[in-house]
Amino acid sequence: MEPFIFAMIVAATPLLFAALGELVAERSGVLNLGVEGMMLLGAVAAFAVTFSTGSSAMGIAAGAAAGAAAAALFALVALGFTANQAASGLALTIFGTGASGLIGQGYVGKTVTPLPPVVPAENLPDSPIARAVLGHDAMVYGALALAVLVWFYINYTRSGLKLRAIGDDAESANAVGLKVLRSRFAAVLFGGACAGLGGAYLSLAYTPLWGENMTAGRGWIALALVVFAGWGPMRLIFGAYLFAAASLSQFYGETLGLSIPSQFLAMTPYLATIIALVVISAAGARRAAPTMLGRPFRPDR
Amino acid sequence: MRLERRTAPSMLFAVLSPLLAVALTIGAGLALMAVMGKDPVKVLEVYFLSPFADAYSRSELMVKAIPLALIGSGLALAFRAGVFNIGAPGQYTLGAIFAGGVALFVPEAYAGLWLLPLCMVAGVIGGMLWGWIPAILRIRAGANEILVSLMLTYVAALLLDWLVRGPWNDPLGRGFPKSASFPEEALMPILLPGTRLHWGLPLAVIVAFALWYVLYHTRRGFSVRTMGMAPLAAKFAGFSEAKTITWVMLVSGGLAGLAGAVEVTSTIQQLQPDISAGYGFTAIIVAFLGRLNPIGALIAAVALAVTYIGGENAQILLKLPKNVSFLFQGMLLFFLLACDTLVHYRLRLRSRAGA
Amino acid sequence: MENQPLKLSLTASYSIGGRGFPAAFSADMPPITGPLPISARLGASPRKPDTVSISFNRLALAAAAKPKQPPGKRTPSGRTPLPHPKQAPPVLSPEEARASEAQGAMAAPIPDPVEAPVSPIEGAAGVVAAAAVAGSAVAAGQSEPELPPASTPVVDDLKVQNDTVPREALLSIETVSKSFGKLRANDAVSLKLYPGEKHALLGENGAGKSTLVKMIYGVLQPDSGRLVLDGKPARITSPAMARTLGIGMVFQHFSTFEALTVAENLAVVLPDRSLSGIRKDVAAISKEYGLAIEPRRQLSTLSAGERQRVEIIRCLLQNPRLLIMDEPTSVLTPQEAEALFKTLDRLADDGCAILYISHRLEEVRGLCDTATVLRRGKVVATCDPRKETASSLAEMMVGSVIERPKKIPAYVGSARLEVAGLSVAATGGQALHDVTFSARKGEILGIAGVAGEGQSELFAALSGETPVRKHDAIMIDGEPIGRFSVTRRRRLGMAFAPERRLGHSAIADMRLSENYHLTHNALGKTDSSAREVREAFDVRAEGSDPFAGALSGGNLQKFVIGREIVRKPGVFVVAQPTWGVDAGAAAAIHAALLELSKDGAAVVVISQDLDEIFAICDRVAVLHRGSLSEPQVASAVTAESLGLLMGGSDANVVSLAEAGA
Repeated sequence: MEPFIFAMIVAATPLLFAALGELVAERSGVLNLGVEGMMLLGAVAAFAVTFSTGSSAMGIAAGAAAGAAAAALFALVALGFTANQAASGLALTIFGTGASGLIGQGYVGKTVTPLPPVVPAENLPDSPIARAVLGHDAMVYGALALAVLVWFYINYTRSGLKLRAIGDDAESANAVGLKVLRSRFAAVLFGGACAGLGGAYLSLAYTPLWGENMTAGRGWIALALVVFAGWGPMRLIFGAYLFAAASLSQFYGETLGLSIPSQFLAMTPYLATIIALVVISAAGARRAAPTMLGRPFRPDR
Repeated sequence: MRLERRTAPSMLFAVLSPLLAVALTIGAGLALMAVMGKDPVKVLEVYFLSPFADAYSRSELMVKAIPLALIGSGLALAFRAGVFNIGAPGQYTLGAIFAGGVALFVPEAYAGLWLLPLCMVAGVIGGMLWGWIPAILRIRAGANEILVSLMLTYVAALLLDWLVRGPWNDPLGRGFPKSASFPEEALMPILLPGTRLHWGLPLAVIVAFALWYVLYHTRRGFSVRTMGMAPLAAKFAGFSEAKTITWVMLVSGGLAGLAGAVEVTSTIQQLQPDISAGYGFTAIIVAFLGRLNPIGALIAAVALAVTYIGGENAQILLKLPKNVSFLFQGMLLFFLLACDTLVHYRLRLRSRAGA
Repeated sequence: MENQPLKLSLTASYSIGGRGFPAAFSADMPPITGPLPISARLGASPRKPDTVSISFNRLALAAAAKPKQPPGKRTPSGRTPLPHPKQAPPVLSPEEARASEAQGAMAAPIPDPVEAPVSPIEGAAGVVAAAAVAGSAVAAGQSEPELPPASTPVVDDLKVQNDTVPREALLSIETVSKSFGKLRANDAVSLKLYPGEKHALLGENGAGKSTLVKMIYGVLQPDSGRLVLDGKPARITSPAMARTLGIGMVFQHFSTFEALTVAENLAVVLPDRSLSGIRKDVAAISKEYGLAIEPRRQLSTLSAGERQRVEIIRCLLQNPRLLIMDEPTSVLTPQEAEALFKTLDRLADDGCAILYISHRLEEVRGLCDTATVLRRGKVVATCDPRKETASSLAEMMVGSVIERPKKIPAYVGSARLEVAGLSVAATGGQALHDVTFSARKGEILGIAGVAGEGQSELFAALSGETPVRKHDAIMIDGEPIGRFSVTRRRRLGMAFAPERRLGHSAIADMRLSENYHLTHNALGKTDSSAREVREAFDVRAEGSDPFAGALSGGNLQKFVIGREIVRKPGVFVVAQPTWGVDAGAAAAIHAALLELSKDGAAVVVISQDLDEIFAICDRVAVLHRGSLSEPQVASAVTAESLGLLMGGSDANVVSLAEAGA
C-alpha cells in the first residue's frame, strides 16, 4: 500500500502542475491545446540546465521559463492574430515535440541527480504511511501549494475576479475597460510556466533523464483533468491524485496477480481519461466551463 | 499596427497565405539552424531542395504524400464542420491493423485479386470504428472529441504493439516485434517500375476530387460547411448536428484507416510497432495548409512530404534528429494561422494617432 | 478674486459617493438641488427661481497634466467666485493644493466665456453650498483612505443651470469625424451637453449614433475634431479613462457578466472597493434611485430589466457627470421604462447630464429637453423634442416622409397554425408552460414580451429546431407536426425567420446564393433564386453575389424575410422582423408581411417592439416567463395593458423588480 501511495503522489505532481496552468488559461477563456508541447520543452530545458549547471533549482526555473516562452508563441498567434485556438495549440504541441527533440539530442541517455526529498529520509517518522506522504521533494508540495494559491487567486482577489469576468464575456469585459488581451496573455504565460514545471518534474524527479516524447500524453490528460475538475483548482488536486492512482497500472497487475499483457495495463490512463470525460460530461459538468472558452476575441471597432 | 475586420473574406489572401507561410517557415527555419551553428545553405539544400533533386527522390516524395493526402483531405472535411478530429494517428493505426489482419489471416489457398481491395475495405472499417467512438461519445455524452480521439491514439498504438509482439507475432521472426510478411496478393502494385511509387497515388487523387465534389456540390457538403461556419444556422437549415458530426468522423476516420491500410500494404508490407503513425499528425497541417479543401490538401501533402524526405536526409547528412521535422511543421502551422488572419482582417498602421 | 482659480473646496462631497454617494446627496445637496419643483427642473416655467447646480469631480491626472492655454485669463464672470483652495486648508494636502492650482489655472479660461449677469441668489447659494460641502469634505477626507492625494487632483465645477442664461457645457463635441474605410460614420458632428440636461441623440440605424458615443466613451478615437470636457480639450483613450472623467455608459447589449454575482459585476470595474462595501452602496443607491436589486444574486438569474439596473448602478457608483444610455427601454416593459425615467429625472436633478439614445420618439418627447438628430453621420437638427411631434422628429431622422404601410382590417379565415398545450423544459434557457394560441388565415398575430421571456424557445419549438415530444402540440392546417424536423415543416408550407441575422438566419462568410439555400435545401425544385429575392425585395449590395456579411442590417433582413416570402408560405413565423434595421427597410418589411397575410398566410410576429406590434398585428398575446397570455384584438388593447402583462401581473413596478427570484 505504501509504495502505491508514494507512486501515486509522484505521478500526480506533473499532472497537477500542468492542469493548474491550463485551468488559469481556460478561466480567462483561452483553450491552449499545446500543454503537451510546453511540458516537453519544460522537461528538456530543465534537464539540460540541471545537467550543465548541476543546479536543479536553475533547472526548475529554466523549465518554467521554457514553458512560458512556448506559451508566448501560442499567445502571439492565438491572441495577437486571433487564430483558431485549437489549431494554434496543436501547432504548439507539434512544435514543442520537434524543438524538444532537437534541444535534447545531446542529452539522451544522460542522467541527473533526482531532486532530493524535503525532509531527509533519516528524519522521517518510522510509520510507512508517513514516509510515503512526507518523503517527497519540494516540487510535490509546491504543486499542492500552487493549487491553493490559484484557488485563492481566482476566488478571492480582484485580479482573479477580472480573469473570471473575461472568461465569461470578453466583449463585456472590453466594454467596461478590462484589458482582455493583456489578461489573457498573462494567463496563457502562467499556464505555460506551470506546464513547464510539470515537464521539469518529469525530467528531474519522476525519471531523472531526458527521453523524446517522455510526457507520453500527460499534457492531454492534464487538459482532460481540467474538465474533470469542473474548472475548480481544489477539485483539481483530487482529480490529479485520483487519476494518478488509476494510472498506476503496474500495481494492479502485481496485486491482483493477473497476467494481463503490459500493453493493456499501459492503456489504463488513456482509457480512464476517456471514461472520466464521458462520465463528467454526461453529468453536465461542461456547464461549468467558462463561456468564452476557445472563442477568439478581437476588439472590433 | 492593428487588425481591422474585413466585410468579406479576402480571396487573394486565402491563396497567398499558405505560400507566405511556407516562405516564412523556410526563412525562420534556416535562421534557427544558423543560430544552432549549422550552415543554412547546406540545410536549405539538404532539407528543402534534395527531395526534388532526382526522379527517385521525387517518387519517394509522392510515396510520402499519398497517406498525407488521404488523411489530410478527410481531416479537411472534419475541420470544415468544426469537428476537431485529431485522432487520425489512431484511426490510421486501426486501419493498418484491420488491413493487416485480413492480409495475414486469409488462407493462402483462397487468396486472389480481391484480397487487396478487401484489405482496403477492412482498413476503412477499422478507421471508421476508431472515428465513430469519439463521435458517439460527443453526441451522447458531450465528451470533447479532441481529447477522446487523442486518447484513442495511444490506445491504438498499444494495441498494435501487443498484436505484433503477441498473437500476431511472426513465429519465424526470431522474436522481432513484427508480423509475418503479407502475401503477394495483398500488396499494392507498383505504379512506376524502379520506384516504390504505387497505386495509392491515383487512389488519393480520386478520393480528394470526390471529397471536393461532395463538399461543394452536394447537400451533405453544404451541411458540413454551414455547421462549421455557424452551427445555429446549420440547425436552422435543417441539418442535424449529430448526423454531421458522425458523418465527418466516419469519413475522416475511414480515410485515415484507408491510409493505414495503403501504407502497410505498400511500403511496409507487414505489421510492426512503428508504422509511421506520425502521418496522422502531419495531416492536420496538410488540411490547414490546403485551405480545408480536399484538393488543396492534395497539393499541401506534397509540401509536407518534403519535411519527411528532407528530415530523413538531414538525419543522415546533417546529424539532425528526426524530430526536427516536427519543429518545421509546427512553425509552418503557426505561420499559416497567423497569415490566415489576413483573410479576415486587414492590417493597418495604427490609425489611433498617438494612442 | 476673479483671477483666483475657481476649482476646489467642494471637492469631496461627490467622492463621499465612493462610500455613501446618495447620502452625500441627500445630506449635502438639498439646499441646492433637492426640492426644486419639476417645472423648475425642466426649465419650463419662466418664473422659476434661478437654480444653481453644483457638480464636481475627480479628474484624472492625465487630463490635468498639460494645460493647453496660458493661465491668468479672466474667469468668466458668470461663474461664482469661490474660496481659494488655500482658504480651506483642512481639505487638502500641499500636493493636492498645487495640483489643484494647476488644474484651476488651466481650467479657468474657458472658450466662449459667458458674460451673463450673476444673480445674487446664485452667488449666495454657491458660497453656502461651498461652505456646507467643505465641511463634509473634511470628514470624507478622513474616512476615504482609498483616495490617493497626489494622483487625483480634485476639481469642482460650478454650473449655472438656467435656460435663460447661457450655460457652460459639460462636454462639447467639436466637429468630430470618424471613418471606417469608405464609410464616413461621423462627419463633423458637433454637440454640447450641459449638466442636468437630458439630451436625446436620435437617428436611424447606421446614422452614426453609436460611433459618436463610442468616441465619447473612449472606445473609439475621432479621426479629426475634438472633445472638450469642462472647457478643456480631452483625449479619452479608454472606457476606464472615460469613467475617471465621470462619463458612464449603459450599453444596449449589456456589458454584464452572467457567471458573476451582482456585487462581483460591480466590483469588476471598481478597482479599490471591497465586495461588502459595494453591497452596502448597492443598498443605498437602490433606495435613493428606486433600483431594487439583490447584490448576492448571480446575473444569469436576473431579468433583462434587472440586468439593466446593475449596469446603471455600476455607472452610479462611479459618480458620473454624464450618463450615456443606449436604447435603454428596448428591454423594458412600459412600466419598467417609466420607472427608469424617474431614475433619470432624479439623476438629472442632481446635475448629471444624460445622453439618451433611442429611436422611440414618443419616449424622447416625454423625457428629454434637447434632441440632436443625426442622419448619415451628420447633425441635421438640434431641437427641443417637446416642441416637436413624433412625425416631425421621424422626418428629421429619415430625411423624408416614410410611407408607413396601412393596416387594413384583415379577412380572417380558419386557423392555419394551432398551438395547444405546448410545454418545453428549460435547458439552460426559459421553459415554456402550456402555450396555446392559433394563427388564422389572413391575420398577423403578434407575440409581445421583453427579452428573454421564452421567445427564442418558442421560436425553436415552432420552427422545429428543437422538436417537441407532444406531436399534436403544434398543428399546421390540422396536421400535427410537433416531432417534425425543420425541413419537414418547411415542406408543409411553414417558413421561419429568426431574430439573429448573422449566425442564425444567415452566414456572414457565405454568398447570398448559398445563404438562399439555407432555407431552400431539400425542398425540391424551386423556381426562385437568390437573385430574384434581391430584385423583388430591393436588397441593395455591391456585386452580383455578395457575402451576407457585406450587407447592411436592413438589406440583409430584407433578404432573409424575402427569401421566405418568395416561397409563399402558408405559415410564417418571424422574430424581431425589424430589429436594428433602418426605417425604409422596416417599412418595406412590414408591407411585405401585411401583403403575405392578405394573400391568406398566417403570420406570427414575435417582437419586443410594441410600436411594431400595434402597426401590423391583428391580434396580440404576451409572453412572460414562458407563459402566453390569451390573444386579444390589437386595436382593443393599450400599450399600458400589454405592459402589465409583459411584467407578469397588474402589480406595481417595484414588485416587478423583485419578481425575478
